[in-house]
Amino acid sequence: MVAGGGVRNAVTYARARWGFALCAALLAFAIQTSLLAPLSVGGIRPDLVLVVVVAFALHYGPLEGLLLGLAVGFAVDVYGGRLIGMGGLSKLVSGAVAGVMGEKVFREHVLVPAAIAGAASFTGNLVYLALVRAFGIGWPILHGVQHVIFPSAAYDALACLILYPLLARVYRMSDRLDEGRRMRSVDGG
Amino acid sequence: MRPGKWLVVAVVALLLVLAGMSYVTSSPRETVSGPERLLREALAPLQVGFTAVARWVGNGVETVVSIRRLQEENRVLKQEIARLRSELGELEAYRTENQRLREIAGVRERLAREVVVAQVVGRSYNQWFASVTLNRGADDGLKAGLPVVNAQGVVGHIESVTANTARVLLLIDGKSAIGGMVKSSEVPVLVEGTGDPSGRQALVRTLVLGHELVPGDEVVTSGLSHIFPKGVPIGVIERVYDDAVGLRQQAVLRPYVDFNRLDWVTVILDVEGGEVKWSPEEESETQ
Repeated sequence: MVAGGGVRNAVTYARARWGFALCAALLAFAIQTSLLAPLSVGGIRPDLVLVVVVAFALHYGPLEGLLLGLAVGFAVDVYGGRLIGMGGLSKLVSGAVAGVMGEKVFREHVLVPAAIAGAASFTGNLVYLALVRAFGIGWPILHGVQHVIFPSAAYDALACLILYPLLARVYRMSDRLDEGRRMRSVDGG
Repeated sequence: MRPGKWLVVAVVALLLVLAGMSYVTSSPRETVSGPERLLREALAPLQVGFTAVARWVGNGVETVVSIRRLQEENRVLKQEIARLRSELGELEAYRTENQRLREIAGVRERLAREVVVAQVVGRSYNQWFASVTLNRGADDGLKAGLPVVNAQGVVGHIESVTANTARVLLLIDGKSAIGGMVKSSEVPVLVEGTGDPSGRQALVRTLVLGHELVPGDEVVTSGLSHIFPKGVPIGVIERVYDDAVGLRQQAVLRPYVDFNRLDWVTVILDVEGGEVKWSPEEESETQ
């Protein structure tokens, strides 16, 4: 009973953070698939959805990062219509990696989130490549690592460097909203 | 003689001398007298100095007086420059739009078939797949399998449609395969996407044993796949190598279409029959 109540409370009082995170991911996805085309370098564009997931994971920890990564990765897969689930797994790994790394380092330094985003992007894309090869799509590993995974990691790190301060502010704002709701509930109860 | 009389005589004499000098110098002279030369040479440096000072002071005064006027002029000119820049930007946009429309009109003319022109409104989320989303769908007569081209050549084919959107699998996607032929020899080849995110290469496999591909060969659609009409440009062969077994040649093809800059495309609704007369080089020369 107590455990059930705790989970219910956690869900109830984390509405703002999840709402903001999902809206940010949706906005990032829309921008990424439309406005960012001119910014592609060698066909590579920054993965803004990944940046949203990484920022969330850094702020709330690996479990939250993992869950958001799974949710938005799956949604993106559904939009793409191909290999549904692979992107979810890939983003799940990215979110978890970012969350775990964020717990071990001083994440307030501006370069740390960027480095973690690069690492999360690299790991997630590597997982994606391995999974799709397991499903019989013969993308060459070396070519993929050289021309997609490494450049994507660098571009994602750069995008995180720019966007993380904004996202961190949004998440802090959502924390205040959730905390306010919890306090009102306690006072009312 | 009284002093008064001397004075009168002196004045009259002076007047006469002056009149005489005036008479003598009344016509233009080429010669300059000694006193004149001396005076002019002595005064010249001073005149230069005074004139310079006078000009400097005059300019300064004029500058002070005209600062407000200049500021106003500067403001007006800046506004004018901004307006002209804006107009230039608009003209550039019109020029680009005009070029696009001419390209689209050119594609329509060359195809001489029923087509739908659509705008690319979305791109694939990740770099592993190469697809775009169009702003036209089933309501406009689009359906899966229809070929998509632009002024440069083959873009891909429609993978799926909704009422108002269509997803196009691009030529360079790893799952794409199009029947083509070498334009000069009409030898059939298969053009496959490689999934290369740069969008700059596809793979060509010969379907005829013993035929040699040559760098520079132009590849066009063969019409055998019944997806594309015959003769639509695909790309040019850049590099040739033997396959793993060594029996057949493979080649790296550079597509004519710039997949990173797709904006407007043409979907061919009426696929069957005939060959398309298409010459992108001539088209680009005329523009």
